[in-house]
Amino acid sequence: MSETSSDETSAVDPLAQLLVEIDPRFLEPIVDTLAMLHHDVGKYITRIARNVPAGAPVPTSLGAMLLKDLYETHRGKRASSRFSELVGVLPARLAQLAPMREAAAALARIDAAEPAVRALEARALAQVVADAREVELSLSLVLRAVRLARVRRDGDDA
Amino acid sequence: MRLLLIEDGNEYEEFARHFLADRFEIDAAHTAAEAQARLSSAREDPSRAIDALLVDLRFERARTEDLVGDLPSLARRMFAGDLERARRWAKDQQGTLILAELRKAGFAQRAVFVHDFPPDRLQNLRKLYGDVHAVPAFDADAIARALGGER
Repeated sequence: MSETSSDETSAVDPLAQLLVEIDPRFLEPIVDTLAMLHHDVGKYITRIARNVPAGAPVPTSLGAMLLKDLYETHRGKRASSRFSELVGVLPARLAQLAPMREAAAALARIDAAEPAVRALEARALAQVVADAREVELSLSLVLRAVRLARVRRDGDDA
Repeated sequence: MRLLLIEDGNEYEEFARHFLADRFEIDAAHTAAEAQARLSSAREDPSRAIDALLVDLRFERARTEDLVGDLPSLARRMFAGDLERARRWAKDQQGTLILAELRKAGFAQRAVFVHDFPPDRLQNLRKLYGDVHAVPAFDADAIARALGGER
């Protein structure tokens, strides 16, 4: 039985194919960038979002921290800006994978919701919490899939 | 239980005061020197004993003079003399470098990182620094479990 979930496997296949084509010298910088993406965007965007029970109203007392996670995170920039910076140095085909596109779309929704989030509107708060979780999940999936593909490739090389 | 947070900003502290304060008393340090001072003073006063460490990995905002790690030596050994790359590396890995200093000073408390380490890296950290755990995200319950402060 495979150790990977069906979600992981679906992300691994196109990545595994991509990795075969990537010059091994460029693989480590890619893994480093994906790890940084997960850290700077995925980890911090869900600092609050991850701890609000799913479907429950977001307490307005968490509003300031949530705003910081979404719009004033890495060096005071929006999470979406940091995402764009880091994705910009990845190979275009990697940036076009479905989980990366889903993360970008969720970040765009988060940016569009900013006025309502700043006004602490309950519906907007709930939506950005769900979107933030989606960003983290997508970035985590890609990072783990690339690491797994690298391990498999190294195993094949051994 | 008392927890020492070690980070370059205040994001961990904000998080901990909201989501972990019901399970831990919380103290914070922002450099290796501060962490060592807090742990040393706690060792002398059992009522303030620190049970676990929650450590940030990247210290991007740290001042160069606060960084642990011999930058010229790192530059020579790892970056062909490039001091700027050595500084960036030391900032990226500062949490583990601080932990190394604390272990050298005899502080063996459990250390938890909020970071998605590859399994082989975590295994290596455990070989080097003993009781080390990692949680990939700011998940309060998972972090509390890793720290040993289950509800």
